[in-house]
Amino acid sequence: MSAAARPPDCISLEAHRDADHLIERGARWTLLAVLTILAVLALANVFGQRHVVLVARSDAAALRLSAPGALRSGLLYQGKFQIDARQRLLRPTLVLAPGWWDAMSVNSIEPQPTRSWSRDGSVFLEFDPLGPGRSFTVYLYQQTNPTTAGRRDQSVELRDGERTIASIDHSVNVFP
Amino acid sequence: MDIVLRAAAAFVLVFLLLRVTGRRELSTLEPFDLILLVVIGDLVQQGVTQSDMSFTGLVLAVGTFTVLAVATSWLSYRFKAMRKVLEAAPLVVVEHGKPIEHNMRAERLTLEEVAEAARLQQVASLEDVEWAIIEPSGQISIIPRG
Repeated sequence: MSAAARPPDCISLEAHRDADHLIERGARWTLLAVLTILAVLALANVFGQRHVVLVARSDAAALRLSAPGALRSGLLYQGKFQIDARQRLLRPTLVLAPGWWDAMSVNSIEPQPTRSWSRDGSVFLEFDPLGPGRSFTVYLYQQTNPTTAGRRDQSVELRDGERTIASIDHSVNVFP
Repeated sequence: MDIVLRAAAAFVLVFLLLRVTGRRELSTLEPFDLILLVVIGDLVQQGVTQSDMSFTGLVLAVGTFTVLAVATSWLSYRFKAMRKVLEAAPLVVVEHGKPIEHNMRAERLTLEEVAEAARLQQVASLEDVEWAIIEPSGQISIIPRG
């Protein structure tokens, strides 16, 4: 066999010509499949940030929440709270669970509450009285802090003074 | 701490992505591939440093990448089994002027591309190629017939 006909140094015909490298090829295809699945899941809103709309009703009022069910750290997002009063609400108060505030940056709340306070980690936002048949919307503009990750309770409750009118269980999953 | 973890995760992700992409794309670097790599780099940077614009953050992120690059290189040098995981093996794609179809298919390599590599080394015909080997770097080595 001439020098050129021999395989070059460090090249073995079994390993570098005939072997199927099935494990390597399998791993590559598996990884590619995982990446494809992740992209499909993202299109299906698993990683955010499409809004979900949740509604709670009672005789006194309806509360409608529109907010993302999933987020990624660093994202800007909006929470929208709509109150449809059926009876007169003297002290309409939104009670937002700690997950709305903890490790989140609040850019703005519109309109501003007339009074706000904190109790057990939840923040209470009290607004002007609302007559029957009136609708009132509060916008909360926020951003997840870059290091925030994990599931956060973002429940919201509508109260008239101390009386609970409607409540919505909501949580957001923040992906790192 | 967070930035080091992010950098390490990004390193692993980039490593896996490049292994999935295949060596052809890495070696040929057509304009599209080049842009793709730059875009990937930019996206990775955003995920690693996020809003951190500090010099400390830069040192931590670049330092983590460097340490991991040296560590993988050392593992590959020290352990043959790791080398198989970390680096693609060379593949013979032409032997005695005849293409090895299953290896070319595995690397999505066409006959025209092998012929182009041969021409770059002043070999006009594939029949004059004794060995063509796609290397771990993605380059095609051509050894002409004697």
